[in-house]
Amino acid sequence: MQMLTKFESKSNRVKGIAFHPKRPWILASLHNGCIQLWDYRMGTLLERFDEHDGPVRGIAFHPTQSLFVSGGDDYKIKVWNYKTRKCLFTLNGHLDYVRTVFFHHEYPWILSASDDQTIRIWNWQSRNCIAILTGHNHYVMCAQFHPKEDLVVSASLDQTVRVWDISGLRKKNAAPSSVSFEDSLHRSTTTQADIFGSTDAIVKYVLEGHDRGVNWATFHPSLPLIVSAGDDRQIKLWRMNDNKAWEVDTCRGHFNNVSAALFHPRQELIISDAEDKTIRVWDMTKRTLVQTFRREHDRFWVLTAHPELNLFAAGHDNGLIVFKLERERPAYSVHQDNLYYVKEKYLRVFDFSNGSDVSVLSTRKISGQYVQPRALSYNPAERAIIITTPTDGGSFDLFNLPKEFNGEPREASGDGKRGTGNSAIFIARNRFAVLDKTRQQIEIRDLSNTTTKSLKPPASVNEIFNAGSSNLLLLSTQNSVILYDIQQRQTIAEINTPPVKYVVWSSDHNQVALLSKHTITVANKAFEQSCVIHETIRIKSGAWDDAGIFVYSTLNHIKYALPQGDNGTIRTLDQPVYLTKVKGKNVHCLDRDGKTRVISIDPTEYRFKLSLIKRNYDEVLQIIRTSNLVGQAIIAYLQKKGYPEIALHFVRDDKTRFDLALECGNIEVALETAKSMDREDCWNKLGAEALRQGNHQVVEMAYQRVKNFERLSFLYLVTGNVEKMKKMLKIAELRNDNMSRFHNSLFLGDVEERVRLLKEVGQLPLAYLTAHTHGLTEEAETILTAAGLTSEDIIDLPSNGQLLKPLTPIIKQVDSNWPLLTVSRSFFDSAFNAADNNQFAAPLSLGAGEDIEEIGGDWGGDEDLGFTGDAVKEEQRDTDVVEEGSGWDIDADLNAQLDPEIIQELANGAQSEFIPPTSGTNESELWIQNSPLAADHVAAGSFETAMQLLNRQVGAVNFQPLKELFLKTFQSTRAYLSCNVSLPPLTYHIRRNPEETETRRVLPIISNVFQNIVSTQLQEVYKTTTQGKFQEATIQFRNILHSILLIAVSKKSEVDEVQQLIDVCREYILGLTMEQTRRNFPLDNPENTKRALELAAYFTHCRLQPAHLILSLRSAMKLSFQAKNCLTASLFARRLLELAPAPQVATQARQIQSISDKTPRDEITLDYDQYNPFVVCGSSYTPIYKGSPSVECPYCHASYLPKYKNKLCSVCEISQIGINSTGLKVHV
Amino acid sequence: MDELFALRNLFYTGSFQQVINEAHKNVSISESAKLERKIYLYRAYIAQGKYNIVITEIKDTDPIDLKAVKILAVYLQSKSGGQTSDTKKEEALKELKEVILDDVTNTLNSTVQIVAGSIYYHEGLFEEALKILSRHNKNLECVALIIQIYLQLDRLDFAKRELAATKTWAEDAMLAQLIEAWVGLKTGGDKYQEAYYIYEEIAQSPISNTVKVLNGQAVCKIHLGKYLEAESLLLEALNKDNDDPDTLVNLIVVSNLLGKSTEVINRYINQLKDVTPNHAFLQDLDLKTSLFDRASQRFSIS
Repeated sequence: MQMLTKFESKSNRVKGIAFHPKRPWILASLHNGCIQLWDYRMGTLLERFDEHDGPVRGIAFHPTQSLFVSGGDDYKIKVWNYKTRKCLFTLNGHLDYVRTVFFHHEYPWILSASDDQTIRIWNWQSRNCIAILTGHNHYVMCAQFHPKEDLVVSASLDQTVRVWDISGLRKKNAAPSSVSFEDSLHRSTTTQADIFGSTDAIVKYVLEGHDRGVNWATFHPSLPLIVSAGDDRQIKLWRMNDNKAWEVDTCRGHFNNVSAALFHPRQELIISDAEDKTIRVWDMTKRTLVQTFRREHDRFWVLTAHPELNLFAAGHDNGLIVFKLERERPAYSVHQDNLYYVKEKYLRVFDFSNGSDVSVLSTRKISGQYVQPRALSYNPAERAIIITTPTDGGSFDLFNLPKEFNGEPREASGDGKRGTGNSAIFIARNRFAVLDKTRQQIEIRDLSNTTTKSLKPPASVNEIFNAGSSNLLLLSTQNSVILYDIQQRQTIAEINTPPVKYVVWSSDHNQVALLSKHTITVANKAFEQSCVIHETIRIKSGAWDDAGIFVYSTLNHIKYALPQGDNGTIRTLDQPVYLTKVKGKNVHCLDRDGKTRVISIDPTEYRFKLSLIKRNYDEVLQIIRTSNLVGQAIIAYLQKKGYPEIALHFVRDDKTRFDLALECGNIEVALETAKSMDREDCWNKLGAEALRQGNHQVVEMAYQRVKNFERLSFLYLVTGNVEKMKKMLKIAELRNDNMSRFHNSLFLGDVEERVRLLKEVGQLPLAYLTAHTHGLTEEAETILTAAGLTSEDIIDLPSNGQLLKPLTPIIKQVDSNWPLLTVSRSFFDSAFNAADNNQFAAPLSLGAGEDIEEIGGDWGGDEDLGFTGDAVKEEQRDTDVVEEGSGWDIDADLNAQLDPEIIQELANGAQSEFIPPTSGTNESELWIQNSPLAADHVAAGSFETAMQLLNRQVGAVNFQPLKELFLKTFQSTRAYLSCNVSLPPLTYHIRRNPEETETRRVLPIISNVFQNIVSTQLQEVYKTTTQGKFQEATIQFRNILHSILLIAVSKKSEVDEVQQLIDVCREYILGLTMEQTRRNFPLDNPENTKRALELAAYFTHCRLQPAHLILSLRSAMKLSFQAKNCLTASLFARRLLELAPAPQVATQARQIQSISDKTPRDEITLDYDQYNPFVVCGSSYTPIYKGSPSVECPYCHASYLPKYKNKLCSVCEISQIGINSTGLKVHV
Repeated sequence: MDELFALRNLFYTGSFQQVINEAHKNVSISESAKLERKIYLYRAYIAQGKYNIVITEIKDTDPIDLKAVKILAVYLQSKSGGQTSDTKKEEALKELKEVILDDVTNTLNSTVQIVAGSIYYHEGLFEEALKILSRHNKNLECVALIIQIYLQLDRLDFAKRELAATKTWAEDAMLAQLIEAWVGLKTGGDKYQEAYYIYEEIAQSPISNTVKVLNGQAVCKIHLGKYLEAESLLLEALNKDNDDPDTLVNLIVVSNLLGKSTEVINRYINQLKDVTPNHAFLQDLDLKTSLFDRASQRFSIS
């Protein structure tokens, strides 16, 4: 037995401890008056409660509510709420130190023991003392409730242990709730009286035996036992019955005062701790010492057990320890679909595929009584198993498993193949390796347990693991894992890692996960490290998914790790589990009780991420479409990993969409979001990106929105858009922006305008110069004259200059964009575009074109022409004010006063920019996307995919018989409506869910209606059958069978009915074809007669309607009778009579029966055993008896002899016999 | 006051003979209305397939509107006609492009827009059609064409937007109502019923209870899953005109959905083949037949 320390705290002396019943919390009350609340799983101090004055000795959690109670040397009992972190109230009454406090498991009671020699019971709801138990004549050190009965046990320094009966108190408190005032008054007075009379709680037994004061006494959880611990260094076990109690035995061994003792909740053990600095474990039945755990310096003061879990805690001089006495991890090993594990001393085998769980071998002999096996290694070739246990410093046992697991566990064959070693594993069919840690030696042994080889590891090894090959081993050392070649005795590779405790290989042995306490190291077959995952909490176990994802469990989570090291949480756990296998959505695991469990998980997130990493974009898309992955986490992940275009798909927030769109260069989305946000910084960013891509139409719009006139002018200049430049000039004029006017006139080469402007602003010399140099002599003269100067006054102008003239645009780029920069359109852009014609998938040209048109309209708005001059002037006056207003919409007003001619041209220009939309998604395509039903694909006209679906679903290969059906289904899905005169009509797709407008759910009308088939076609064909038109009936049944391939039912319940109808058709077709074959036999030779009789007999075994069955039996009966096969005829007659046929038929049957019974034998021996269930082969018409090999048609499930595999099914004439299929889908 | 209100509605509901009769009545109307009446007259002849009347009567001296209508007549005749038609069709297209559309002012003429839009539609040049139609000046018929193009392009979103914009200025017009029904039938859900109400309302006046309107009602009923009612409406339409291709196609559909025997359905199909051998429905059917054969060959016993 070992002590597994789970948590240690360092603090002042711990006098009291209490586990929280559910959460991983422990309360410690300290000698310095403080109460600490620890999370022992995380190892963190959660809270401190400092209100007591002096040491706090008693502490307890309420079993269900968020309360705890403490009792201290300040005589006070305090009740706290740990959620609000407040002391709720204080119970005063004790006259000396309070030693222990406990809650009752059911009633609102607190039990306290005090140095004032009393034990008190308090009602914490009414907050008063309801009983005082007197009798002890020294300090009462401990008082506890019995876990079930109305008993209290107390221990005192008066050297006694007392048992108190408190049933009186319970009865009084459990009285009917409707209590009158007088009653309650009465009761309160009687309670007072009890203090003296003490009738509510009476001493039942006084247990004397300890020679010194008793420190602790407690009840056994289920047996009538008490354990007590005293300063006489003894632990005493007491037994009681209804009328007496007596000492059973004494455990001696502690050599100082024993502080506390308790019963192990799950095993027959007593645990005690003492001031001699030891924790001791005793065997409860033998009263012998099992184990001693010693601490160097710390005296122990208190001990407690967790109410639910296999945990204990002890408080000592310098803190507390939380520990357990056995490992809870079951020893297990997974091989293919089997899990081998040890539970309660039995080796069990669990089958993942069918869930069977059998116990195969008793392992009782091997390990010590209190020791759990540690590891298990399985050898599939020899069906052998090695179990390693820590007994005697490590030992292993080798077993052979029984050949068959029949549910009865066997005793392990006692050939005593055991040995010492800390770790033993199979490395090959006939060899295993054993590590002896103390001698640092690895031995290779054969199955007879003789050592064949022994080697010294290259470093100090803690544990050895399988390395997937017979001559390789993984050696776990203190700081690395070594891949070691046993034959060559050399290290092949080494990975540095903290000590590795477990190793998990993927099923294809290409990847390995090395689990340490807080890290997982993933490596490949060649032992090259691919990633390391760090966890803050302890890693417990792991298993590989088939897709290459490592799923692992920590103390409180199931998580996943992707090959490149990304990890994430799948779900939380209440209790640790040990993963054994991951199968799709199910995680198989063992829990701490050794039970196999299946936890279902949602693998969407990690599959999504895996597909991204593997660039399996089809699957990514599939997951996006079918799952509801959402959330910031996934968006952040996508962005971080460089998939903004996918992230875009998940985001609805405009700002984020905008940023993402810019990141992936998606101008359309950026434009759309910029429009809805309409913020200047967004437009600027959009403009910059659009410019980078060369999309100057969007650039233009962005500049317009932010009124960046300079850039706009320049943009028009470089795109040669003279008209717009003219307009810019006008706008500049209206804005009174002289600089802008000058720029624009310069860009336009409009000299007159420049001169006019310079004159206006009083720059006459410049105006003159401009006019003069451009040859506008007249204008120059006028300026001169106006200034009162003549040309003589002007000094000579330098003549070496050149006139600045803007270039004439040759190609007008107005209508079209520049050649756009190739934006790397990922798979997803196009996929999303194609998939949903929702707003953010609008094609580029469309988004841009449309909006420029909108702007263009404003620029040259026709309506504005209607303004009268005055109005225009008014508008003009307003412009200064308006300019500071918000934006571009004022341009409409500005435009009003523009020259009508320009406007017209602009209007035309604007209109020519109209870019029509590209086509959207046709309804047919929607149907295909929305449905996995062949019928819907046919309706959509996608015959290929429909055929593929049918091929996959029912193995259909012969489609010729379905041609008419396909065309009929297809042609009933579209109506035609003439809209405009002299135009072809529009096609209107007819839906079977007319109430649906969501494009993701629309489905086509299917002319084949299941209910119609049942109500008309089936009835008709029954009639045909009754009339004996077998050939016709066969055809009709086959037609039904074919029709079913293209139906869509609306209710799930109908799916089963469809299957039933298929079965009916199959049975009839088979029967009818047999019957037709029979009729074609001339009964002229015995061979034919035999065959005819057989066929008639088989016919009666087709599952027909009773009416038809009667007919088939009649004919079989008559034939047999005529052929003198009386025995068989009699059998048919009997079966016939069982069906209650018409009277004359019955009479005939009885006659035949009675005649036949006189000669009960058959003339011709038939291949027909009616007592042995059989099906008839659809091709050879021979019986296939139950258990004989057969193959099936994947569609109609007709059975065939194996030789017909891969032939066309002759019943449905559609499918290929014996191939795999997924089953017909008829319901979306 | 719209002098041609009644005429327009007759035209849109497909009562072409009535249009011709009305147009021949010598009701005195304004000059501009006279031209428009003439346009409707000729377009009604075209709709009836009487192209030659149009082609011979319209002279080169006639206004551009009429010349455009003549091109439409030439084009449609060539399209429906025999072998020599291809050159004629090319000529018509050439004339449309070079003679009419080259002059920018012509492109603002709504008749030209309608004619060009229609011809481009027939040619499958939807972009061209939209470009020219988008220049319209609140002409409902242009909007109707635009929306039909959008619907043909499966851009229901655009059609809805255009419709919403149109309703702001042409709520009551019958054509606007019809457009709404066309769009509604593509939308589905409650819109099917609304579309039916529109057609039903139009059908209430006996003069407009035409084959076209009956078909409209029937298509609504089909979408609503009321096949028997649809069938009786279609049979009524078939009584009025036993050669109407739309009626025949929709009857085929309804008969299929009602589970009628193959003979009945094949009779309708053959009738359709006689009337309109190159109907889209028949082309689709041929296409799918060969598609079936091709696709089914890929599967065999493996």
